[in-house]
Amino acid sequence: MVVTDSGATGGDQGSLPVPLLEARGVTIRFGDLVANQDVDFSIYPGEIHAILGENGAGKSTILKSLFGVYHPQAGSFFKEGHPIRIHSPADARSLGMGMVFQDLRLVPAFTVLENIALANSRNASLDLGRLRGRITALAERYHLTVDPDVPVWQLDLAGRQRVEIVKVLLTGANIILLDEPTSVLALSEVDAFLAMLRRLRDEGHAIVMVTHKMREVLACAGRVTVMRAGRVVHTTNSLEGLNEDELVRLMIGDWAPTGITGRPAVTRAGEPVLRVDNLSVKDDKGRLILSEVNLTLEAGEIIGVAGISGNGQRELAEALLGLRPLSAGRIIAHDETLSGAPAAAFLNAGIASIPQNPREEGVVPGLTVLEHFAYDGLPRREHRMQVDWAALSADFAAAPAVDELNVPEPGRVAATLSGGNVQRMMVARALARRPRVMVASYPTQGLDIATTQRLMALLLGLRGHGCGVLLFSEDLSELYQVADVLVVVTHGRMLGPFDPVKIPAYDVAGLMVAGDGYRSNRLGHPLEVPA
Amino acid sequence: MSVFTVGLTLRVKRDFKPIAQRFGVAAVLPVALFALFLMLAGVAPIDTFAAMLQSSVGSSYGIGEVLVRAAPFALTALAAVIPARAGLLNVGAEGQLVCGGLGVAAMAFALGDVSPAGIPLLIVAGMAGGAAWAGIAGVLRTKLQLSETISTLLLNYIGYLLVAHVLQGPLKDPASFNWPYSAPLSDALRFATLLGSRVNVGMLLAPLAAGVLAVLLFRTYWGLNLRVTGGNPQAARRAGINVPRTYLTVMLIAGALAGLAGVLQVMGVEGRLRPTSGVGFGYAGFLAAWMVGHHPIWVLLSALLLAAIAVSGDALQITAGLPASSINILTALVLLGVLARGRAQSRG
Ligand SMILES: Nc1ncnc2c1ncn2[C@@H]1O[C@H](COP(=O)(O)OP(=O)(O)OP(=O)(O)O)[C@@H](O)[C@H]1O
Ligand SMILES: [Mg+2]
Repeated sequence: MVVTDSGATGGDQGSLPVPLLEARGVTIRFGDLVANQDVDFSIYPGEIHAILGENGAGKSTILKSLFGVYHPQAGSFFKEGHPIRIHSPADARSLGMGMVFQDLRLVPAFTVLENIALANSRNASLDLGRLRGRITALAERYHLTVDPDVPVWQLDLAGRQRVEIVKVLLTGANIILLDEPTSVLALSEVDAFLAMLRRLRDEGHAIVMVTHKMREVLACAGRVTVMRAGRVVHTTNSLEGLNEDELVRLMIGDWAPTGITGRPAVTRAGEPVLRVDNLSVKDDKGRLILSEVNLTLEAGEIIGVAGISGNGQRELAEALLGLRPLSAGRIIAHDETLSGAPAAAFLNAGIASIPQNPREEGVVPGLTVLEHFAYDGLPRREHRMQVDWAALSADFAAAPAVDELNVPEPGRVAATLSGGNVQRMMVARALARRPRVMVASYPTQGLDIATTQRLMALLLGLRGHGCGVLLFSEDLSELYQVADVLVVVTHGRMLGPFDPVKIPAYDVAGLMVAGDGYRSNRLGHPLEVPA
Repeated sequence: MSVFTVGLTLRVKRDFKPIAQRFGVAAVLPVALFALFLMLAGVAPIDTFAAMLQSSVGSSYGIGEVLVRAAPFALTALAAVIPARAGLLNVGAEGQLVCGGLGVAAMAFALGDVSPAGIPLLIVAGMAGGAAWAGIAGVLRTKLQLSETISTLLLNYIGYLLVAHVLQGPLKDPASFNWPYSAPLSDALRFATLLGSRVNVGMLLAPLAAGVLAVLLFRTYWGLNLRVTGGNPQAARRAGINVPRTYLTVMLIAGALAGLAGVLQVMGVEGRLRPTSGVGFGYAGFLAAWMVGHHPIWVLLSALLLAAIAVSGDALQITAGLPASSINILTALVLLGVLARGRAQSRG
């Protein structure tokens, strides 16, 4: 029997049929830490079930245990009412499950096609040509840009997210577990993605999705499970009559949207802290991905960089950090020409950054949170030529952003933190540098709602202190919330600057998709504002 | 303060348990399999084991021989540990060791007969020889992106040939007739030995190096940055760490350490350089490093174990009539035991 998203839920919970997959009383501990405590969870065919909760609430953990990655200390699993054991992801796959992990699981050296073939390798006869055809067909059908022959290491985070989604769909799974699958996709892509989910649901798939975006929940979910500190605190069988604020309230109790009420005034020195002259960069394939970029970032200014991921954001950010050579142009910070200098010179010039792919670009296996702050973030503290850990822990505790973002304890091993907690650590240590320029790539990815708001406030605080912020984001509402100036990277160019007060969001979205063509065709009013 | 102490005790505990477990399995299973081999070869395993134990740890002489062997093993192990912590695989301690020995011989040749004041010079020359050899691999890696695993391995063979060549030519001792040996070092230039045994003061360099490196690795910013580079080079680059320079530095240090093993062999044990001096020690050290998960202090332990096995190989030949090299079977079994155990653990 198929349950439609709001069907069979008219009244009491008891009337629901047998779930397709069910977890009962799942408890998972890592040492002293209880990641899941007595968690009950169920999925029905033909439903989209959203899991909400703050960072570290245990959402990924329950998904991973359903998928056989973690083995619960207590609890049991059932498929269509029959008890089952899930020892490994292979087991889970043969039970018809597919999962998109929060930290994506692709082999960087392999091409997209090879990665997808790997996931399908149980099918003895593997016809790569046919698989390629299926990939392209599927990608087209669901409006996902996926090139089967690109090596994965050349893809940015959003590109990898798309590959993971295609990969799971192609395995033919009918239970699909998605752990923050859209965290860095642009709005247009997210909409296509949600449409795809609804279609899969209507075809009878059971879909579980972890997300921090209430908009997505409201757009597609039939049921919602809310987790807090490892426990399930709510399971709602219908979303009827729930709005965004009420969802958030279920999640974090008393929710008073602190909001960004007006921006703090900035004593604009107007002094440029970063200048980019006629810059061109190549991507990993050696193709010019952005050229003739001109940009002036002033003290106390936030420039929002809009654009669909993969249009050169990563390359531009890396160039601004001295991590990628320029094909042409110059980067100047405070009258000092930095282009050509090593990354250390950029850091010394006061340029800090939040990486696009925090786990891959920032987390060192085995090192603690404090050690992460020691090698990058806090100023050096030495005592008789040795690292002064006592002084560093004091500095850590005293760092405002650590407190504000509630960074996990300094002794935790960073690689075991939840996705959102890794992001909190990355943001807090970038802020601990007290930067004059902040290059922030998708800084709110993976953060829960309250923390996202706090982060936006922190960025505005930076601006108030005369720091220049370059904010890369796929989320226009986020950009409109804080940016003083908008630019759009699209089709190899950077367009703008635009005044967010004057340019409507749908025009920016149009530019993101269609590039300059959109400007000449559709925009009836002048866009340029004097820089 | 508290965070630090807690962190430190955690680290020691965390490190110790798996290593102890590794050794446990690594000891029992291989010994059983080796007993099987001995039975198949037609010798009584119990008697042979007794003889092996007797020859290695059963007498003060045996213990001395084990220590004499363990010291260079520990140094070549450290030559694998430091690069491994930075993410590089140095398989080249063999070549670096013999080049270290070559450095000593060449310096001794250049100095002629000098007072004990020449000892530091010889040590430095030995370390420089090893460092230069490893430096080649380091430069190839940083400038040409050539895998250091391959280049260090190939440089081992070139190293052997180089030493053989030089010992036939410029450094050949005219007094040794047709043997390709360097001239013996004068007694003043040799490490002082203990009561006529081969145990010498130079061997203290091994624990000293282990201690210094452990402090550098775990207590300084230099070591932290090195471990960051090894754990995640991308993160290192973002933090402004000069990754190529780190690679080059660790290779030079590794080479110097392996060179030091050559110094011990030439100035402590053999008194001259032969084409066979220290051959095989580099690979033994590589195993020793793996066995303890590249921990700079625990390698002292694994080096002792491998040294004891190596020394007891002679007993095989004498009492059981097997070739001394059959002991390599036991070494290999121990390594497999360690690796299997490590894998089982990492799968959790
Ligand atoms: N392998 C692990 N070892 C130790 N602790 C872990 C491990 N995996 C998860 N944890 C801990 O379990 C808790 C729950 O983590 P989980 O990843 O499930 O959170 P989450 O709800 O997905 O959060 P986020 O929104 O940040 O992704 C966290 O405190 C995390 O640090
Ligand atoms: Mg998660």
